[in-house]
Amino acid sequence: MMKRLLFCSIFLVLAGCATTSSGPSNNSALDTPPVASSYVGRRLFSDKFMYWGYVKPEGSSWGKNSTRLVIFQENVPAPDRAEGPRGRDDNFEYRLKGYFSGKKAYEPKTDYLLDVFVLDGYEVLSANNPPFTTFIPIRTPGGYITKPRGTSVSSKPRGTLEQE
Amino acid sequence: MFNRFLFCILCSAFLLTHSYAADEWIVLSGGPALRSWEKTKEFPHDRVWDNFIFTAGLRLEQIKTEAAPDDVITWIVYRPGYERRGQEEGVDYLAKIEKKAQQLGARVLWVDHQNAVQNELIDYINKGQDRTKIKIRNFDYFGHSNKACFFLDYSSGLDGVVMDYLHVTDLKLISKDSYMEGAKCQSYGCHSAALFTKKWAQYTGTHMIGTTSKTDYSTRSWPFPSKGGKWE
Repeated sequence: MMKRLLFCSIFLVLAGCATTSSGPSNNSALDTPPVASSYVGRRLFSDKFMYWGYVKPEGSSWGKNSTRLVIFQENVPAPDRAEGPRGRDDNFEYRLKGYFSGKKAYEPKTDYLLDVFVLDGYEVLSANNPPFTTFIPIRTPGGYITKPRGTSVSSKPRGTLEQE
Repeated sequence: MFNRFLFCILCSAFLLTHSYAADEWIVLSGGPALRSWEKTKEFPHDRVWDNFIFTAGLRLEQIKTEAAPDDVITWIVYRPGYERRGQEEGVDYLAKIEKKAQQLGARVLWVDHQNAVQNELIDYINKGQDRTKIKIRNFDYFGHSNKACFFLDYSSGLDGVVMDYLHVTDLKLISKDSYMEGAKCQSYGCHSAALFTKKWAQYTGTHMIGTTSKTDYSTRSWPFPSKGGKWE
């Protein structure tokens, strides 16, 4: 009886110590960004939205398990910010030096919760790439926006991300 | 004799739980954008640093006259936003906020994180006071928002995005027991009445007033719904 009481007490104390955690970070295998020594990024520009584009480990194919739509944390200015005008590099591919910070940022116009990639450097790999047509961000669960008024997420034709 | 003793114990217990029950008034201020991100944009945000501090001050002045002497007045402020803007402009805005709070008779509670994994704001609402005794009777938000989310920061840590936020999907974590029945809640952020206030009512059991449109902070007075919008 005493043992049972002790167990219950410990359980209650531990349960009381638990910190609340919110929905968006849970329940998704996609929640852990890929780790690699170098990455390839594909610029996806929209003047309405603040994401930078897709990032995958170098050597992987573009696909839902390898690829993330990211927000840049710019230790060096992003290519088009450095040389302007913004978006001039839509669909360019870059070799990216940097890493996923493990943090997520909320992009308010799309209601997407996206991975933050820390950009330490880059070099252009190619400039003439066909656009992707599929859009596979980590969407904030319960989020609301599909098409913000006056804009259109899907207005530009985009190439399909192949399944791995 | 025993009955009299029992009666006294019961009376004391009743008095302890009822007559000293103060209420809490909470005002929440989100942080400003950085000028370095915003100054080249077509519609830059936060030309001045204190849109959400000045207006919170107006509300705190009101609260000072409405609150009972034992009530707790808590001004929750998102610290990183004012640290970063202060560093950018070479001014100690945290000290200015502390001084203003002192003048208004409010206690500043700095919050550094509210996001997918850290819930400082929600934890305070749920457990920051003994919620069996001190219920929240007022909650006001001054800051950036869209219809689904309060942005504690916007264009501050990173350009045009939000690192700390209270999203409608997080509202289920708020304990209904934190609020007193009929608590007064209002969002002075943009578009809250389009979704956020409805979810707030669902999860907290209290009505929140919000606006259907953008909120205009440009007049250095009470924020108001921009053209076509209204409080509801």
